[in-house]
This record gives sequence, C-alpha cells and structure tokens, in this order.
Amino acid sequence: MDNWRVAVLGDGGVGKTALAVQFTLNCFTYDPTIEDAYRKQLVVDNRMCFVEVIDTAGQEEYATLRDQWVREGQGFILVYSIASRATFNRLEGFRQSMRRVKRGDPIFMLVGNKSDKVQEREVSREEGAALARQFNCEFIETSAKTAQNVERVFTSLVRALRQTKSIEPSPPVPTKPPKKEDHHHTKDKKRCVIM
Amino acid sequence: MYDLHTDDPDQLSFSRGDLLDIVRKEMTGWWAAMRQGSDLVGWVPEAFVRPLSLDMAEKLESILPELRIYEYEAEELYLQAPVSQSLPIFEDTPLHGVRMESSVSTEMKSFAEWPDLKLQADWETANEPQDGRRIYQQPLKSENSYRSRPFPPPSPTTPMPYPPESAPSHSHHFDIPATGDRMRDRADTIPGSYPPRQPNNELHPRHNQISAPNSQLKDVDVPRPSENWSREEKIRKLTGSDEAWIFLKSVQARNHIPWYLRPEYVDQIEMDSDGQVRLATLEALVEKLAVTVPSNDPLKNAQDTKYRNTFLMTFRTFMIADQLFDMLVDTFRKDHPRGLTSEEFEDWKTRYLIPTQQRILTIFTAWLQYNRLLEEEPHISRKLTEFLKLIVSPPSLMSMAKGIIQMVERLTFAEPINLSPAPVKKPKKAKSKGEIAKLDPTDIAEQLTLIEYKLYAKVTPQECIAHKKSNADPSISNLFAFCATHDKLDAWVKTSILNTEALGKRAYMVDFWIKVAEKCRSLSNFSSMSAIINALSSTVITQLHLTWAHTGRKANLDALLKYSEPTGGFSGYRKLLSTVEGPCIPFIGMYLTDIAHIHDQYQDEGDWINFRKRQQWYEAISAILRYQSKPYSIVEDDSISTHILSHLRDGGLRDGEWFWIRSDEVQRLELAHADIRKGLVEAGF
Repeated sequence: MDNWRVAVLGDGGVGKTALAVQFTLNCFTYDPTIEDAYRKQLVVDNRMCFVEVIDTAGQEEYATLRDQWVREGQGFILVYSIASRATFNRLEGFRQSMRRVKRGDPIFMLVGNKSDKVQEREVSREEGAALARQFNCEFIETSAKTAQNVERVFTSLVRALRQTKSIEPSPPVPTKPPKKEDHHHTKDKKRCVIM
Repeated sequence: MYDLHTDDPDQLSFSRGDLLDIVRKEMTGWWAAMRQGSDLVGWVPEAFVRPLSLDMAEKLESILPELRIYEYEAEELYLQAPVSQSLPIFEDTPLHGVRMESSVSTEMKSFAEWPDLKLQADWETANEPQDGRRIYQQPLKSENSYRSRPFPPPSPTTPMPYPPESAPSHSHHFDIPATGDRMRDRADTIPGSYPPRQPNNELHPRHNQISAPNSQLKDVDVPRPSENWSREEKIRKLTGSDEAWIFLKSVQARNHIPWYLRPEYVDQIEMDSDGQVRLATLEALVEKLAVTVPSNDPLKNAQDTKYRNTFLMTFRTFMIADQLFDMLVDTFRKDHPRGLTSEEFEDWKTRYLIPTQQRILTIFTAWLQYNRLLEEEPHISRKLTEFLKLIVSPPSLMSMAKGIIQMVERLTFAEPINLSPAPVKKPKKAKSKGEIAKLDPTDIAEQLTLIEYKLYAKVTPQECIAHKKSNADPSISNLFAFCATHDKLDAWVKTSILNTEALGKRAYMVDFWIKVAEKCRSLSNFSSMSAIINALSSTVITQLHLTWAHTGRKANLDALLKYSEPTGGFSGYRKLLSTVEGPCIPFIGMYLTDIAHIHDQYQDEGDWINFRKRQQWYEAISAILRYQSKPYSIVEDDSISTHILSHLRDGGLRDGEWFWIRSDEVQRLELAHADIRKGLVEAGF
C-alpha cells in the first residue's frame, strides 16, 4: 500500500476546503482532533493507497507557510474557480512556488472548481485545458458542491504519482507495511497539501 | 426483531381508549409504545393505533377513557384532518398485541367485539397500581400479549410526583436527550425508588460513562441481581439501539410537566443523541436559552452553561443583537397562558415566570461580562439600562437588575483593561542596534513573547468567526495583526541570515535563531516558535548547505520540526498544546482551518439554524482564545522590544522574490568560496 500526501493550492474562495471536505468526508465525519481526519483510503487501478490531504484552508494570512506545505506535499492540486478569472490568473504564482521548492517538475493537477456555477462562468473549459497543456499537467473541472469529479481528481493524481519514480521520499508513515521488490515505484510516499 | 412468533413479552397490551406514548417507529408497522403514566414498553402494531397531536393527547387525557374515542372523533371532525407529528398514541383497539392486523379499518372495532379482553384490561388497570408484578403473574389469554414487568414499578400512583425545580426543563430535551439526563431526571423525580437503573449502567459502559459525574445516582448505586437489569436491556434488544430508551425516558419526563409549563417551540428543535442542539429555529433557540430552568444536576447545568456560552458567542451569525434583546425582553414580560386556574397560575409563576426572569438577567450579565456587549453593540446598553430600571419587583430581581446597571456603568467608564500586568521597567544597558546576534537569545524570546501576547490578547471571538469571510476586512484587524506577525518574524529571521556575509557568522546566526525558537518553546510561545522554525526550514535557508554544515544545533531544530508539520491536522502540535498549562501564545493556523471546515460542513436549512455549527465554532474559538486571560510575568525591556519591533516592521516590507534571489546568490558565493578554499588546500596552503 502506498501513501501520498497531497496539497491543495489556490486562492481563497476557490473551494479548496469544500474539495477536501468532499473528498475526505465520503468516508467519515470531519473531526479536527482525529489525526486520520485528513486521510482517505482509495483504490486506484485495483491497488489500495492512502491519500493524506494537507488542508490549510483559512490560513491564507500565513503566506510564508505555503513554502512548508509545498515541501510536505508530494502531489498538488492547483485549484481555481471557473467563476473567477482572478483566481485563474494567479495560478502561475503557485506553480512557480512549487517548481522552486520541488526543484524540477512537481506532480500536480489543474482543477477548475465550481463547475456547477454555469451561469457565472468566467473561465472557459478550453482556457483551462490550454493552461494545463502549458503547465504539462492534467486538467479536470469539478464541483465540490455536487461531488462531480472530485474523486477522479485524486485518482488521477495518484496514478500520476505512481508513474513517477523520481519523487523524493518522504518519511514513512509508521503504519505502512514494508514493501517487497516488485513494487519499487510505490516505495516513495507521496503527500499532498491543500493550501 | 419484531417477529410475530416470539412469544410476546415484548409486546404491549392496551385497551381501546388508552393513551400510549410511541417510543420508536419501525418501518415494519410495529411501534414500540409506552403506556402513559407507566413504564411498560412493548411493541404495538401500527394499524391498531392512531397517532395524536400533543394538543389532542392533552385534551383526551383529561377525559374518561371510555369517552375518549367519541371526543376524538368529534375533534377530528372539527379539525377536518388528522394531526400528525404526534408522540402519544390513541388506542382504537381493545387489548391486543400478538395479532398483526393490517387494515386500518380495524381501528374502530368496538368493545363488544372483544368483551372478555376488555375485562382483562380493566382488571389489569385496576390491579396495576398495587403491584406491577401481578400482570406478569396473571397472564392474559394465551393469544393476547402482555408485557412482563420483572421488577416493581417505581411508584404506586402512576403519574409520578414531580419536583418543581426540574420540571420545565424536561420538555426541552424530549427529542433525544442525553441518557445521563434522562436517568437523572428520573432519579430526581422519585428519589430512592428507582434502583434498577444503576446495574444497567454498570453493565453498559456507555451509560455508565455518561452518568458517572452524577452524584445523585450515588445513593442508588447498588448493584442488583440480574432480574432488575432488564428493562433497558429489553428495549435495546427490541429496537436495536439505545435511542429508544433515551427517548422513552424523555417522554416519561415530559408527560409529567403540566401543559402550561411546556415550551412553545419544542417541535422546532432537533437534538443530537448527546443532548446538544443540532438544528432549531430562532424562536426555539431563544426559548431554550431563556426558559430552561437550572436544576441541581451538575451535568445538566454544565451543558446548559455551555449552551448559553455558545449562543452568546455565536448568535451574531444568525441574528442581530437588537433582535435578541427584544426577544429576551418579550420573554421576560411574557403573559401567562390562557385558561389557568388560580392554582395553576401560582404554579406557573413560581416554576416558570420567576426562574425565567432570573435566567434572562443572568443572560444579560453574561452578555455584558464575557461577550462584549459594550464593544460590539454599544447602543444596546442604553436600552438594557432602561429595561432594567423598570424592574421593581420581586426584590430579588430588582437587586439583580441594579447589579447589572452598576456593571454597565462600571464597564462603560472603566479604562480598557490592560491584560498584561503593568511591568516594572528595568532599563538594561543599551545594546548596539543592528547586531541582534550580540543579544541574548533569551531576551529576544522573552520580549518577542510580550509583543506577541499583546497582539494575541486583543483578538476577539467575533474576529475569528468573521475570519472566513475576507482576509482584508478591517473588522478583523486584531486577528490580522496577530497572524501577520508570524510572517514578519519569518521574514526577519530569513533576512538576518541571508544578509550575513561571512559563512561562519551566518552559521552562528542560524544557531542563534534555533536558540530563540527553543526558548519560545519553553515559554509556550508557539506562535513565534512556529514562525522561526518555518523560516529556518524554508527552502531559501535550507539550500545554503555549507551554512548548515557549520551550525551546531541542527539536531535541536529537527526536534522542534515535528511541532510545525501540518500532517495529521497538525497532530504533533496539538499534542504539544494539550500539555500546556501556564501562559501560552498558540499558533492558531490550524484552528482557522478548523473554522473554515466547520463553515463548509454544516449548513443552515432554511429557517432552521444549524446550532451544531455554532457549537463547533465555539469550541474552536475557545481553544484559540483560551490563554488570553493568562498574561506572562516577564519584565518589559524597552530597548530590546523597540529593536524587535523595528525589525518586524522591516520584515513585513520584504518582497517574497527578494529571498529567492538573495538565497541563490548566497548559495553561489558559498560554493565559490568553497572552491577557492579547496584550491588553496590542494595548493598546499
């Protein structure tokens, strides 16, 4: 079983919290005092893994913490709201900070959230897809409100993380059983952060 | 579970015209019911009974059982529609329990059809008050069911006596209250007469836990042989959950409250199984705030106080202060219900009106004292004073009102309270500015702590709630200032390291800050500690590998790192925080995340206010502000704190980009110097 830490990055108000809550709450009720509140078991390509979402929503005041979340995360979800062009335009800053801290190509997904807000759409799907090509990453539109595509975001990200062997190892989670040789690529733990 | 073949001690017998309370409804058509004024519980087929509204049940209660059906029919005709949402049940059929007849049309089967059963029922009723066991020993016709009672009924006269002080409060819980409450209510009601419950508690840890703090149960805390164990166990077996039992207790309790003491909006409030409000309308919330009467029960009182605190901290998120003020005043001046006899009026006055009025004054006191009435809604204080001046009787209320007026005056004209004790200034020898490394890390940590504490102490609950809305909102300036210090300190640490040219001095600087962080840790100044750790472990600093090679305290930093890792919901930090007792400045980032999560997870539903959300906010905010009332006893040093403040101010001006550029530059220089040195070494120097 592999472990991944996923950080969700994006401006305030794009629905990072909702995305994380939607993802994790599928299996239990959020209780901040429970360590596992941010962990979720996920089956991707018939293989089980744990995804830990590092959620730092509400901490936008702490701008300098972003560096730390990026460090902690192995995979990233870069979120904007399709109903706000400003959040779309600020993505480049997050990408830069990822590239700097991660020294190279971070594994991340581009997510256009709030796809349920059809009437208020400011960023077209094509623009999102074009930016994703430029970033060289996958692109999905989601609705944390209706749960549309939420699980798919994490599934795709885990798949991408598994394909990449070069991810720097993170400290093993104590509960993780040791892996045998035929699973080399799963040895590295991956984590994600929600910012 | 509701198997018809099981031979029937699980089912309840009843006769036409009986009123039953429904404890639990199952989709199968079997309902668990309890006879009014008794505590037998058993299953009844749904088709045999007719749900009643509370009003209807009350009307029928006062009528002879034989006449109830006619009265019921008349009422139904009058109302033109059956009233739903009922708890008590009106029995249409004669004594029965085993047969499951599906057709609703059987409801009007009359006495004549089952005359012998009716007799049985009468016999049972007649005997019941003397000894409940009789029913058990005297089975009815084999075909018919009865419900055994393995221990004597609590009280021979079935409508249980009721102590005034606990009465009105029951009804507030009648949905699904905490088990502990319920049990205690019973214990209050019939002191000493209810031993069987305690063994249950011992057998069922869940209940035991809840009731443990209840001193009232101690006198009945005698383990009993297993025969007494049964009722709760049976209900649980029947229904498969504890809820029915809890509900049963609440229904029992409610039944003994005179109608004029019952809360009005009780059907507009939903409770959680732990006895806390989940969802309710505004009216019901205010009623619960204002009308519940304190009892002698410590657990319930604590719950009550918590409810009040939660309400007063968060009410501004669902109503404005003027509205609350008006509703409280209206409740205070509430007229008695119509149709009371003079006896009932006296009862209403002593058990409802006076306690409620006292309670409302207590609410105003708490609002003033702990919930920032003067700061948040200054205009209310004038209205409040006017209202209080009109209270002239009874004397106890008048003196209470006077006390509040004095408090308003005192708080209005008082100087803003300085939370930190006026420190004795102890001038130290002047330090050369700009050379922080020459200062003592302890001094820096201490003065930093004082500065942060002053900012922390100003943060208000309202700011924490409002925080989710917008970061730049001026109404959260104190919170913002406190959080911003974190970034400024972070910037100062990075700058001071990156601007130190010589490698050795730079390494010393890193060590210096690690010492400061350690000192902050021992002062429980986690806000500063987190900022310093964060700066030291940022990429712009960690990539200076040669600097780190020259530092001596890297291991100490690693030990601190676990406190600032965001994984597991900051579990490392939460553990650390739970061990703190004295003065403390928490790092509140994770709580802000909690608040944002809570906001997203719980939604109001139309007019129904999600009080669970407020409850959780209250808990998170209490955790944030817990240490505000515990100032540090550190002596302020002007020169050092001025020094720190100026650095913090500068730190806030740095552009994030500068750190990257400067860091890359320093790294390049480090490597170049290393190459030169290597060359020198190789050349034999």
